[in-house]
Amino acid sequence: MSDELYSVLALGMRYWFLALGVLIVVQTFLWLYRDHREKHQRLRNLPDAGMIGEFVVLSGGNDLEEGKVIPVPWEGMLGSSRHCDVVIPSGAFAPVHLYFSFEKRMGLMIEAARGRECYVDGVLEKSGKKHPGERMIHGSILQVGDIVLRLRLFAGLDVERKALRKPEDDVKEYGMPVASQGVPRPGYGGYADSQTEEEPFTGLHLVKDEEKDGNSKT
Amino acid sequence: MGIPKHKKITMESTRMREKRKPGERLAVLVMLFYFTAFLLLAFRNSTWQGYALTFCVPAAIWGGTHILGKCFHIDTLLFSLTNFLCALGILVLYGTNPNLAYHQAAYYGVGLVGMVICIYFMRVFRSLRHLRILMIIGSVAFLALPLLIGRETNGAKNWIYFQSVSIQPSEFVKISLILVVAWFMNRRQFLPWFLCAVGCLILLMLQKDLGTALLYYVVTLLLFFASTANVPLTMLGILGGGGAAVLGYRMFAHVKKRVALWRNPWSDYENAGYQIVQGLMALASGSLLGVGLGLGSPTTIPVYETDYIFAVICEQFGLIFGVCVLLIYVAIIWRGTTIAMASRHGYQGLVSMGATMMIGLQTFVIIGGVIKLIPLTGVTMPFVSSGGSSLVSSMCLTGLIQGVASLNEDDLEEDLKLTEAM
Repeated sequence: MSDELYSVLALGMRYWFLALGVLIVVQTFLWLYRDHREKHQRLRNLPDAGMIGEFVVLSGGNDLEEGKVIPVPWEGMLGSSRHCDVVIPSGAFAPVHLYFSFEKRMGLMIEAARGRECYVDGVLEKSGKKHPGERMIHGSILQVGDIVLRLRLFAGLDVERKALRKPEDDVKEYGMPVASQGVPRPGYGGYADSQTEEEPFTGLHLVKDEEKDGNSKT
Repeated sequence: MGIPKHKKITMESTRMREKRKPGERLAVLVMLFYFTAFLLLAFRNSTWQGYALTFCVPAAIWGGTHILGKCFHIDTLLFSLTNFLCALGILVLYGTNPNLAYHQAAYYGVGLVGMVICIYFMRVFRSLRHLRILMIIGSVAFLALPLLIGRETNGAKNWIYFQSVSIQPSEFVKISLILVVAWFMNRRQFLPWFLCAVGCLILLMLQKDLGTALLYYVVTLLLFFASTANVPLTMLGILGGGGAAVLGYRMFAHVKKRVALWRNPWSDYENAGYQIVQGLMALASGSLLGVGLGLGSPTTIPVYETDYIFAVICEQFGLIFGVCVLLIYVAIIWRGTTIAMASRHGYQGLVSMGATMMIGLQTFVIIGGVIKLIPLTGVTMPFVSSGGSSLVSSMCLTGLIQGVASLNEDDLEEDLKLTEAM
């Protein structure tokens, strides 16, 4: 093909390429917009998508209403800061109070942030190597100050009964502290057997480090 | 009685999947674009390779979209846009230097394999628990290789040569850096990722590869902010980066020169400023509609095939088309960010975010340098620039994003199953 003929063709084809380029961009952004809309529709139909359960406020102190439900995602941070994945708007919680992640068969693993502490099923959990983290399953209780939350896991989640241990197993395998006798540990009988909302919450006996070391308990 | 709620959700999800027909339309448009473009160039060159590319490139686009789409739940839109940009690079190179285009096409094949490996990696290794130390040591060692056995090219010693093959380690280390930093940040372990990032930055400074060092630094900082939302420390990081830039300006003579040329390239337009001036003239001569594919004088721009390929695109296709290319990059960044935000797990979200930001930042740095918005650096235009290391690493970054996208789809299907179980 001669250079002159090619130049004419190339000059003419500019409009074709430009038109296709613009169409590709328009189609791309239409697709992005459509996906954005579908995502919102999907979230409306599956409002619990991405969540593993919820915290129910059993005792909210002065800050939270009892019975309030707070959704819990697969993993993230919990605290009073709005950047957290689970926001507890209470002065009892630090801006980032603890980290959590859901592990199949194990449940919701809780790890306190540096310098923070909380009680999981009556057992003290604070940051540091001595405290490798606590596990929460359906019905477990989380307490910080006078705020008490109960975890409800959604049905169908893979938390097998064989993963539910007696406290002695935790000591053997994970070196986790044993809760003192008499502390209610809902869920160890299987989450189907756990405390239901009908059972009144009677408070927890909180186990501090000294008691776990073998001192007498109240 | 009506349809039960869980069946409505299933039917709606099926409808949602059928609506993925926009992928077909986009793929057809992209194929049509490249079929006509390569055919035009094939008429000019009258070589069998040109005609082969005319059919092979659209076929590869179609085949890749459908085959990969069946194997993994990949994001079809992201894959189509990636293919568009890769093929654009091959097209522009074919119009100026066919040999470069053939190499680029071969690197695209390698890049596809790399992308599949990265998708597979994200799906199989959902945790880096057993690989993290190996990756840190491997990254630092690989990045140190140019200092030991590398050759200085264009003022930077960041290439290693094995016979006829040249590799830029920093292009591949960015992938492992994102994985390692995302892993440790998600675990809230500060020291390992900090040491890894600082080690890489020091090595890059020694190699005088300041453009890549800038990318590493900013992406690490952005990932830090994404994982912690700690504004004061992030601002401190930005100030620190600014301070390092000022220090670099005072310490390195070539940085001073680059800044001076950025401010006034016409002061030395025959020598040091020649590249910038020619690039600006190419942008201007293309005007809105371009001079035509395969026309113009792209070879007058030094290193047009890597640093200034965007100027060549704008010269031949016009500024409006150049804006379209920019919008394609914006769409890729938007999509990658959406995939990151939709991820259920922090590590996966950070990996997707890191890969997206790396692509976005690299695009901003190179195009900003070409249009004289910021001083020019030695980074390449993702997917488009000539060069195997650049293309393969960009495809691998896309593979990481695609891996996270496929995991998101699996999680969504599990949600649908749980809903039907209730």
